[in-house]
Amino acid sequence: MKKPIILAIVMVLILIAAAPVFARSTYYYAGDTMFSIRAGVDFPAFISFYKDAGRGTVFFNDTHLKLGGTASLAYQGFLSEYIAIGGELGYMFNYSRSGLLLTTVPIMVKFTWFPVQTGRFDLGVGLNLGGAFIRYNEGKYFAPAASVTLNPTYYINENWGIGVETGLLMTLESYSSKNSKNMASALAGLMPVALTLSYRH
Amino acid sequence: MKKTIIIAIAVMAILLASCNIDATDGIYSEAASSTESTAVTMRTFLGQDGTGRYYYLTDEGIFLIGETDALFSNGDGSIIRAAALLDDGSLLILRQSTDITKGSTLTYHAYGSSTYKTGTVINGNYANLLTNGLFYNSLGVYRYSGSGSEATALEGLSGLSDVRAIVTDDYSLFIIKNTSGDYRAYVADSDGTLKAAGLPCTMFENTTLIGGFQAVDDQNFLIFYRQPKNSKMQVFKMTNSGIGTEASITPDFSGTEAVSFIYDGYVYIKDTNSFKKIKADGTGDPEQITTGFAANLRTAEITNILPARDSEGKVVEGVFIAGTKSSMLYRIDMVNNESTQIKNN
Repeated sequence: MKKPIILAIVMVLILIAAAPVFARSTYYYAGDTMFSIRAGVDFPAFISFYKDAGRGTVFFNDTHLKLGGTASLAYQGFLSEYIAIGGELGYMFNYSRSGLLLTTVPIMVKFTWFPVQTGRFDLGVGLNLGGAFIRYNEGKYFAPAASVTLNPTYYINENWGIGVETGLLMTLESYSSKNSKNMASALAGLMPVALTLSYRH
Repeated sequence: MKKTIIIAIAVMAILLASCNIDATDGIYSEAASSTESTAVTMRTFLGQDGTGRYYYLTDEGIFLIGETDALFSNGDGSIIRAAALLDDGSLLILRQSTDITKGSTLTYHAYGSSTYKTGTVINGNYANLLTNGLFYNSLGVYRYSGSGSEATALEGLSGLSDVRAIVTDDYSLFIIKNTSGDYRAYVADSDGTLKAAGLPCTMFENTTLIGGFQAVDDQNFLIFYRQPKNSKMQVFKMTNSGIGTEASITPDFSGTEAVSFIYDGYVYIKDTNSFKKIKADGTGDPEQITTGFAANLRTAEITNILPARDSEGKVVEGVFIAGTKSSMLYRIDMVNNESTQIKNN
């Protein structure tokens, strides 16, 4: 578990450090816009029962959730040559061991930094903040949510690009100490890996 | 722009404040506790025979773990309503005719060297058969000796109506409305020996609210009763001299049925999303258990729990087998505080 995370962090740092080498000049200008759609799989990364020391944090298979799917739509506008802001609506699903469906519908404000932009190749590093409707069995909850993403994209022409996006979406299900479900408070992490199709203008 | 942000924050606050009202457990908590479903819908775990094999009753019939075909299945105009695995491996089977005018048939199937013999029909029309081998109708409570076609009535348990029976391992609790219209409680072991008899129990007149029953030992028993007004599960202590209220389980006990087992001086009662641990003497505050052995079982719908037996048929101390409605069996190892699924493969 630790190795892939460390490797991913190192890769991001190298890419960021190397950004000036790749990006001798910026491609985007303030006012440019980008529309993206994503589809792929999502891995249940972890569930942390942070108020219940006995249960602690469970990872991957021990979350009792299976590999699921993800899809989303995003629209962003560039505030400057490097920074874009917009919104994203997603849908993620995972079946549990008992065969019941967990759905996560994130609605996020999206901030993306493009440290690498050659015209042909972009690297977007995203920070998304918002909330997510989660539903499982008879339970429904609107959870604060945040995610970080990494999205390298290759543009086959002036407007259209394909890429891969991965990251970590975290949702917080929190109950107060007066609530009987207090001990069930949890921070959950889903790790999507998706193909992206982007249109820029 | 400011207005939009304020409206967005207000909408999120409303959503957060109104969320998850109707759930009884946290969403991720419930998902992380989910157990692997099987195609089998279990009605009762019947127990283990002298070689430790597991028997269970489903909507389709009586099965052995590891066997694809049913030992006994529904058919010929009847369905299997209940069954009991006896100590020698023989089976009692209560079949209900699909023609409601024909009533039920109780048969005894002795176990041969590798197969079951043709059933002996036991005379009488019986309403129910318990997993410890006792059965009853409106005329009385009975046991079967293993030979002949007549059942033996338990002394003093006759002229019944509004019978509620709950079995826990070797013992059965009967709440009965007698001919005088009074409610009386009885406890009998699987041999038909009465351990408590004719105890007044007006508090149990609504027999549907009796959630569970647990034998502490040969003389002491606990009855779990859901109070009609607030659904709080209350514990009543019972001996052969009377029934008294000893403890009230936590107010958020939400289960309608209270399957339980006893280990090391504590009774573990299954609630909707956890186990409640109480002292076997019915005193003290309950403790909620969601981890260890309970982690895999806290959300499972448990049909019943019996002590585990080894390959020689001897009871294994501190180990129990739980039947679940949709996840087959679980082995509860209290010594190591863990539970593992027993599947049909």
